[in-house]
Amino acid sequence: MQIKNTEQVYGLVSKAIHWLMAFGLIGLLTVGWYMEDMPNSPEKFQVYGLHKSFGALMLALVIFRIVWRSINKQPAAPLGLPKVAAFLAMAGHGLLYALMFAMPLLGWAMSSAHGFPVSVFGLFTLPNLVEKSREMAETYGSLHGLGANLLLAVIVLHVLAALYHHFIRKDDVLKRMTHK
Amino acid sequence: MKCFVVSFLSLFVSVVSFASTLEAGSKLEFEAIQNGAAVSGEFKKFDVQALFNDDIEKMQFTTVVDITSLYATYEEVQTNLQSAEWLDAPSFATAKYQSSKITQNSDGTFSILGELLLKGITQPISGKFTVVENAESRFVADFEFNLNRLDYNVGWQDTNVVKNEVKITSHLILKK
Repeated sequence: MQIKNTEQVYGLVSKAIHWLMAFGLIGLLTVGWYMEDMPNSPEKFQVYGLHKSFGALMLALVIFRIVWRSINKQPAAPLGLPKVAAFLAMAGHGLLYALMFAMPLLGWAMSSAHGFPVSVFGLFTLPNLVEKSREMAETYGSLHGLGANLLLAVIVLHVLAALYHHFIRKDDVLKRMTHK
Repeated sequence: MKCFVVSFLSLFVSVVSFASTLEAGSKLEFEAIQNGAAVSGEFKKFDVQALFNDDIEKMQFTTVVDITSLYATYEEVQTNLQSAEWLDAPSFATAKYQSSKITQNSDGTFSILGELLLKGITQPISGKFTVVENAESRFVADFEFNLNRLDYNVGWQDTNVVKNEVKITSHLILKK
């Protein structure tokens, strides 16, 4: 299997980051909604700590991913794809990247504003992005929550689009991110 | 008679100034470690009575803290820290500190021993401080204490998530 992408297929690195982030993001969204309503307890703090650590990991991955994407070919759109579908794919992927980048930053800013610095798996602590502020923490928190809803919606559309390609158009768009 | 009143008042004033008044800009803050990162808050209302002496080793400090004035930027944390499991502000609204012994260290700082009454439990506590006296005869001191929260039955037994050690710092500006 190729390390780098080709005109036909994603390379090993792109596939690995795609699937690591897929599981990471779905896990973070699930835990994010669950942890909000946990009663105040050491477990809640632990879960928050893990959510922040994995969020920071996702930020590192998405930065690497953007760099990797910029120095790699992107497999071409399948032949005969309607223009509107091609546009939707581009817009959807753009939105996914924007959210993958913005979500950890908003979470980080929210933590900083709350005065709860982000420790990454207890290994090191991220510098505070913004000053402590109760009002701004709420603003970042609302945006982080809004972003989560939007991200979930875009992920669902992304999965539906992959299934559309695979089962309705019967092209190789899904396969080239899996086993082709 | 007028003279007597004035001299009586001046006597009274000198007694009052003997115990200090806490000036604006004074702070009482705490810093704990949760998930490996420092989090802090402060008590907005507290009062310090200092018994001044030119020999700092003979000084005494008494501090009364309004636990209900605890402020943390994260409102949920502020509420939780005042709850029964943590400081239990509804039952123990005040904490009191009384110094007992001050000794000067070779580096010019001072070590201070005393007792802290917190959440109904009194425990000895030691700390250190530095002092500068500025031109307006303000006595400016920075204190640092380390307490173990579980000595006062404060918070979760689990010390992995929130460490037992809590750093208390206080910047005092006192008018002599």
